Amino acid sequence: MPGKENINFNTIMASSVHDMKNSLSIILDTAETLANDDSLSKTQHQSLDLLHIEGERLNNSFIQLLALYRIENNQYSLNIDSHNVYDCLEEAMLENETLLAHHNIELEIQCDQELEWFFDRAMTLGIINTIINNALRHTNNIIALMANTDETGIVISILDNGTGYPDQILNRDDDEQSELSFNSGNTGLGLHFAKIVAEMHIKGDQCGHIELSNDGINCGGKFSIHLP
Amino acid sequence: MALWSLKDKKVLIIDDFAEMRSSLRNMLTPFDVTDISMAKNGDEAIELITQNIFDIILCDYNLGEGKDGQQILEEAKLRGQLPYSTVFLMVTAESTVFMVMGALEHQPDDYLTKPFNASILQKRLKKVLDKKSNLKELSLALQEDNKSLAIELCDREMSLKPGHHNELLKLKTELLIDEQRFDEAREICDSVIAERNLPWARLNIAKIYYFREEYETSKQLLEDIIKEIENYVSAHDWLAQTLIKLGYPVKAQETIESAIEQSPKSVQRQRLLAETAETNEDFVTSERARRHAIRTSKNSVLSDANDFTKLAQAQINNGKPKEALKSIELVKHQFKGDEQAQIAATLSKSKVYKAIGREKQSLELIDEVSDMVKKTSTPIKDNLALEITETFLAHDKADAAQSIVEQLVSNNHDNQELLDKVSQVYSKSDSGQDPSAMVESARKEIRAINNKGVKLLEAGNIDEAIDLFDQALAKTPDNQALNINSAQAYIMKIKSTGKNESLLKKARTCLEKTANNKDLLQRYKTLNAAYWKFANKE
Repeated sequence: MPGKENINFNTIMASSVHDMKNSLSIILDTAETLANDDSLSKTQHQSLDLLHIEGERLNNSFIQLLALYRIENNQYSLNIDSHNVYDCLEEAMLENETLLAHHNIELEIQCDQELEWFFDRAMTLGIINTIINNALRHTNNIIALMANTDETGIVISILDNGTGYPDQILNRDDDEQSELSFNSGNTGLGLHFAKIVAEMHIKGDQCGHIELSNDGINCGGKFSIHLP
Repeated sequence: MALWSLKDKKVLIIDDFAEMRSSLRNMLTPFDVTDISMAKNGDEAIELITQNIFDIILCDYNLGEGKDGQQILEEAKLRGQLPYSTVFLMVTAESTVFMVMGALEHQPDDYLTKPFNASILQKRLKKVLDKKSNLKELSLALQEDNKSLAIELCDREMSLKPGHHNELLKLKTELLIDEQRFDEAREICDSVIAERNLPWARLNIAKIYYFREEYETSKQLLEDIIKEIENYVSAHDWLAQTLIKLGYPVKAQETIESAIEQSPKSVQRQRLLAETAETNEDFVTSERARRHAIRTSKNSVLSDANDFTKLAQAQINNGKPKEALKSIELVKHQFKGDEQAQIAATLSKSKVYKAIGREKQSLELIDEVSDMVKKTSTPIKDNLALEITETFLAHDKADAAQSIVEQLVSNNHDNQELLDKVSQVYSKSDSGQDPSAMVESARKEIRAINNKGVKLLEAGNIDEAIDLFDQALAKTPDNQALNINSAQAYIMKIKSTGKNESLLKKARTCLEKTANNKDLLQRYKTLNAAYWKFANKE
């Protein structure tokens, strides 16, 4: 097959990702613009919100899939640097602000504005956005983003006041986790991604991990990521 | 909504995708932006940037064929069209590119990953604008190349604002290294690493070993970094330099090639690959790299006739004389007014004819080179001068070679590396001549001029000293000692007669020529500080 070896798969990937990200940008931007259009009916707004939330979900899955691919092929090393944690949480809130408003969900940030920590900003935000997107669909009306440090590192938590995680996710066995993950669809991919990225954060002999529980607000879901 | 306004700001949006351009425009309209220009590719962007100074530039990194966002940023900086006040935001599809680009010399103010909404864009713009106004003094010090002051300002900023200072710490470390304050730089790196094994601190430790000429240690550290962080481009760059110093040009070439894989559109890196491949006599790689450099620098300030003549030489070696002639023809057209480029092209052409056995034509062209050299109004650049000398010596034109070498040696009387090259050229030729007498007399002459000039300055005869240095510099424009003394003469003149734009400009030219000379660092610093004191006077 002459010429075939010249086609660099990475180049194809990079340019396809670029195209797909453009399409996603347009879809999400259109959804945001229409969301501010008062002439739409209530049902139209509901359909639009659905479109919007699914668009965000698609974007999160896309980021995860791409990152997992790059990690698998040793093309991604974490870009660890010192970042302001409050600033990251605020950015996660802004990314979801239209949806939060439309679902009448109150999002609160509990974090020291001066708190700084070492982590990969883009990947950690990818995790937080995925969990927020999930919480949007399951919460009653509150989502809280919390961050504080303890002796092992930083803990960033996303809490809601919904019905909490189902038992099959809470009781997941880490070894069987991936199999279970993919049976439970996107939530599974998101958790798998979160686990891998957390574990890539290494300091000395410590590494990060994630934790799920129903210790959220009024026994709602609580997701925590611990980074050393 | 518009508590925050971007009224009267001139904005440029660069994206190859029409819908993205209008989406970005719509995101900005709530903030009263009215003056928005759009470009769909690198060439359009450069044209607009050359004609206007923008306040905000939103640039997509991946623009398909042609220039990418990083090249636009570099071009704009090199053309002086990106003042400190301009905000340049690079928009990318993948966050993985940060690591690759984060190591480059020219940096955007921030990166934004697609997709993002208006609120995030607003937040980032605000953050950059705040930072710019906070760090104005520091940026001025950097612009004036006043590194000691910049280091002090980094310290001041960090003490005023706890936290947020990773970036300043990194900048301070790099400045300390530039100032050869290695112990202080090392101390910072060690304390950063004690807390967290950050790549930039590790890289800087390797750089310190490099500058202390402990190349083996530097090599080991750099290889360790690359093993862990494959896509850290500047670690590859430093490793390549280290390998060259250690005398492993073949390994250096491999390293540069892997850096290019990460960041393919850098003209400088392609040139470095070509040069290294030329040392290794790997003309296939050199041909490819030169072609790449030519394509990437097309219509850019980085375009250089040297790429074409070097391409022609690679093509001769690869048995493609016809293509070599075509490359040379391109110099004739694209660099018409450039005397030196034309000389280099003619010299290359003579080599093509020689390679295909047309000796007579080849010799005629060498005669032509000799005539051109006599007529040229500017002193021949060092590398071309060496090449011409080599050719002349091989063709019994030792006399013609002599005047070129004299000028070359005077231009570099204190540059041992170049003087060694001159000796090599002579010893390789069959001319039977020895340049050492010439080198010695050129040295004496330059030293005599410098001594005379310094004495004139000490006696207060500033104008006479300026005349003396000017005359000498007309013949040997790059001579380091002459330039630093001449800069001193101009600054003394400004001190005695007051600020004057033309004197400032002359002082600046001399100073810039010596800015990277390690041996002249202390004098440069003193004179540079004095220069800016006068330049900034109302």
